[in-house]
Amino acid sequence: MSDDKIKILEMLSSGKISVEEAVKLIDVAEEKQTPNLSAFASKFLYVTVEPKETEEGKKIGKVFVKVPFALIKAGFNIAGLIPKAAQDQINEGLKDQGMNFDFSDFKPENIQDLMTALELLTVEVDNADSYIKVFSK
Amino acid sequence: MIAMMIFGQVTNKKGKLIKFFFPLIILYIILLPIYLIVLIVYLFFLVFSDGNNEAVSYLKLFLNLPSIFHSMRDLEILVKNKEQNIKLIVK
Repeated sequence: MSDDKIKILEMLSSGKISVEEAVKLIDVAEEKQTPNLSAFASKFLYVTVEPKETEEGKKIGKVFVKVPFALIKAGFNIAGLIPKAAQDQINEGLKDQGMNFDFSDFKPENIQDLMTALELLTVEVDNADSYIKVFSK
Repeated sequence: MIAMMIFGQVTNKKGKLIKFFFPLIILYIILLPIYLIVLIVYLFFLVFSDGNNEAVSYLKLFLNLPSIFHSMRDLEILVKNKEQNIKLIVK
């Protein structure tokens, strides 16, 4: 338990504050403890593919993509505006390919959560041919 | 600020460098009258349609294009392969 909460409970037990005030103060203390995800605000999503050296000692191919987060967000927003009939067709197509995904889930509140999650995302794939990394910065 | 230019650079196997750029203002000039027509149609639909019209959704999609142009600034794509190196930057 944090020091703030202990102090609040001490104040409550000594009768300095009421139960309602204590609840309010605890809520404020919890908000303070929760990391502010917007503090991680990244500007770009990077996708890099670094090839590994072949038997001849050569590195063949390299990919570097730097995508502004604003573009991803705009893309999500536009995806959310796709008409229902078209969304159903896309969903069916994705299902046929084994991706159970629903386009109707692209709602503004979900997009914000998605963007926050994307900011914290890091994917690293190390295989025999290459090293792939997806991260935000 | 809206994206204004696409810069490209292609270097082939022999080391020959090809640089090019595409001013997006050309695209905007072409799209502007279409955008205005779509806007008028959209407003017409808003007033005279029940709001569930599928066409309204497509118009909304088109009207959101500027947000894409605005946010694609600083997009960078770099691809190196056996044959050539390709670099695309949106500024």
